[in-house]
Amino acid sequence: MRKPIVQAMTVLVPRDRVMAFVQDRQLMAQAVGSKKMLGTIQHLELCDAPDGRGTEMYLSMRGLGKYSIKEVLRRLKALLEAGEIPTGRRYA
Amino acid sequence: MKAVVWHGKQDVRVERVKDPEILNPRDAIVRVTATAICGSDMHLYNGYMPTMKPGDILGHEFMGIVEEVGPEVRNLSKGDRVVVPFTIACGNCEPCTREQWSLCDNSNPNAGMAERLYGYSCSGLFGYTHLFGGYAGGQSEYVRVPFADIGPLVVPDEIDDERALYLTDIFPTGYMAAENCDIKQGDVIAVWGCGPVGQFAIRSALLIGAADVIAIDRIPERLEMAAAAGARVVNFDDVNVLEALNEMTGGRGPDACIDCVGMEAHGVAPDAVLDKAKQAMRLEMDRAHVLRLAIQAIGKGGTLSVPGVYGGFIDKMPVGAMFEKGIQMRGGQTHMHRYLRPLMEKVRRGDIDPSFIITHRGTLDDAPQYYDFMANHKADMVKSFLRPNAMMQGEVSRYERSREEMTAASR
Repeated sequence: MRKPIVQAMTVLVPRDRVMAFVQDRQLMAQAVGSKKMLGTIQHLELCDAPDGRGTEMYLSMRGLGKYSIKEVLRRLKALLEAGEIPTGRRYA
Repeated sequence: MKAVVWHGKQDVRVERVKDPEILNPRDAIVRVTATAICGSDMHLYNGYMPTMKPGDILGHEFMGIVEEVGPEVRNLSKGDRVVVPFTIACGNCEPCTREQWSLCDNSNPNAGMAERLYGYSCSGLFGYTHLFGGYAGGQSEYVRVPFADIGPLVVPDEIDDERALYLTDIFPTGYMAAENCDIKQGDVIAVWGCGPVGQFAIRSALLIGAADVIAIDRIPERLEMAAAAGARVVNFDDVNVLEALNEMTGGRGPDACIDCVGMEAHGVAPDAVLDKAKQAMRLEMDRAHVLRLAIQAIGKGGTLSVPGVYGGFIDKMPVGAMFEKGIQMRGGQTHMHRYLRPLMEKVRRGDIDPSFIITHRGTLDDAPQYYDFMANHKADMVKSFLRPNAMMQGEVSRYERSREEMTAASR
């Protein structure tokens, strides 16, 4: 069996807040892209980063490559830290 | 609205484009009252920075009036006159909380692309390739400013646009370059490139306390400007720079060197000629002649500060000289948010008047010609100061229309 692709990212938010966020299906759907995509999450592990540097997130998702998983983590981090997902667009 | 739009190598045009809109809760829309062309815009103009797309709006030095704010922007109001830092930062991630604002984790929506090239991404930048977010720039009448609760700073009434505008990039960039030299009493600083950033690096080094600044360029007007600030000057067309610097520092070499040139260095030395050929054939991304010279020139245990933009990979770096002389190198995009407030205070107090740099005043319509002047060193151009046409011609945008409609409705 192929080893799942795991990608990591640290977010400067305490673990309990990250935990509350990832348990909220509405918020998580925003990070993952859609509610349907939530089902592809294989594994999400949260660990305390050293010296109060936030929370380390380790994610693997079925059917997604490492760059796509990284993008999900990036959106998750942006929502948690900045409260929004950045966009370079000029208009809707 | 009107905007300066990139279409390809040495092809920029002033065109009508759709007005920007608020897209995120922390956005603001700023009506531009002044903008400028930066030396680093030349790397886009000359086609050396990857990931530009035809239709991209240029410009990362701009200021203006806040027209609209998103629901999470509580520190700005419509009508505020602001300068906008060219780096975009969220204010909440680890780099931002460490005041390394230009390394923001969250402001570059295309960070994945940058990570493949650099390992990790820097922040988003206005008007500076899709690698850094694909954000529309400020050489336009209106700009969408993300994370507006963190970036823009209100300008006091006593500072006019000409003195405020260059707080958006070149003054802080020159200042950080000088600060990165860790200047101590008696230090001699050599500055390569007397363009706008170089001029501010020279003045900043002197403000911080350098005993002596040596400015290196070959354009007489720029050398004159550097001399007027109090620098000794070296024309690299006339002398061997390494020998000149050795002699001018009593054989010690400069304590720090600042490379304000970046990826398009000129020169007639073999490495410079080879760089040019390789860059033209896309075998090398940057022409690093100045970087190599600076590493050779620098004294024992010195510092190399690099505000000049480099984009990728370079050949034939004298790493041996760096190692054996114990040189430390510091660079990066400017941590704008760290410098805006203190430097604005210096301008307000009159310690420095950044408008000394302006050689050309015009409108957005002049931008294509000014790009040509700047890229090809024509018309003695050092720095432009551009007013949006709407202000000069009385054009009406959707914001003015909505204001007029509101006024009419309230009657």
